[in-house]
Amino acid sequence: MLKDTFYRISAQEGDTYIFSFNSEHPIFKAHFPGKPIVPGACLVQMAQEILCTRRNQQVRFRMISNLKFQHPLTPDIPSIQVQVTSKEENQVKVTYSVGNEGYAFFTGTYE
Amino acid sequence: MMDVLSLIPQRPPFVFVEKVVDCDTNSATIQYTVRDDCPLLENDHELSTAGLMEHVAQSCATFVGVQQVEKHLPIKIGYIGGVKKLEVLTHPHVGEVITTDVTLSQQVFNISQMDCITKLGSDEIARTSIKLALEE
Repeated sequence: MLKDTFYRISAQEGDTYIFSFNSEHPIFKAHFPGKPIVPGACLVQMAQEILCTRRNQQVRFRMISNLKFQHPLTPDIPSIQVQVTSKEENQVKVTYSVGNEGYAFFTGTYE
Repeated sequence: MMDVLSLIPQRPPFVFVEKVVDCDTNSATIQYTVRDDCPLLENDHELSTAGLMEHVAQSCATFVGVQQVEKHLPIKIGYIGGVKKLEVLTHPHVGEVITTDVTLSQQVFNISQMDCITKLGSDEIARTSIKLALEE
């Protein structure tokens, strides 16, 4: 849905993926006009898409918990990493960071 | 009733609310009909969990927008600070009308904590609590 249009993954190592945003995407003209910010919901969607690719089947989050967005993310950041770590069965911990700084965290339970 | 686009800073195609059904000082009911041009659809016709979360967050932003207008203050960008738990029971389809009841539980300076229940008809389909921070 958002993969390859809204964001592009450039590298993967284990459960960590390096990606960047396409700042020309229409979402960035709408959220917000003249001040592009990555919608928090898109970070949830992207993690779900990564999970689908990894498991090679359609999965979706049924529950999101302990979500925290620490700083607004702008699409001009050249490189962002997301770690999607399996926890209990059907559960992943998702962490978005730039360098050593955490930007967003949540736990997703999927089915 | 006020046009939602006068209450939130988001613009199409990233708008996940359409109407204020009801609003008072501590709560509001916000309506959305899932659109076929929504950017967060799955299988081309179902609102994703992320889409539902965005709808709930924009319902909160719309409620805060009404408060701003009533105080003659400008509409500001609001950021989701946190979501304790969002549970989704049903993913609504394109054309279906959902409503979210937003209740303010705490407001400190520019940060509002709101409890939200989303319904499809009379059935509850999602429930959460969101912290929204308005830009200074």
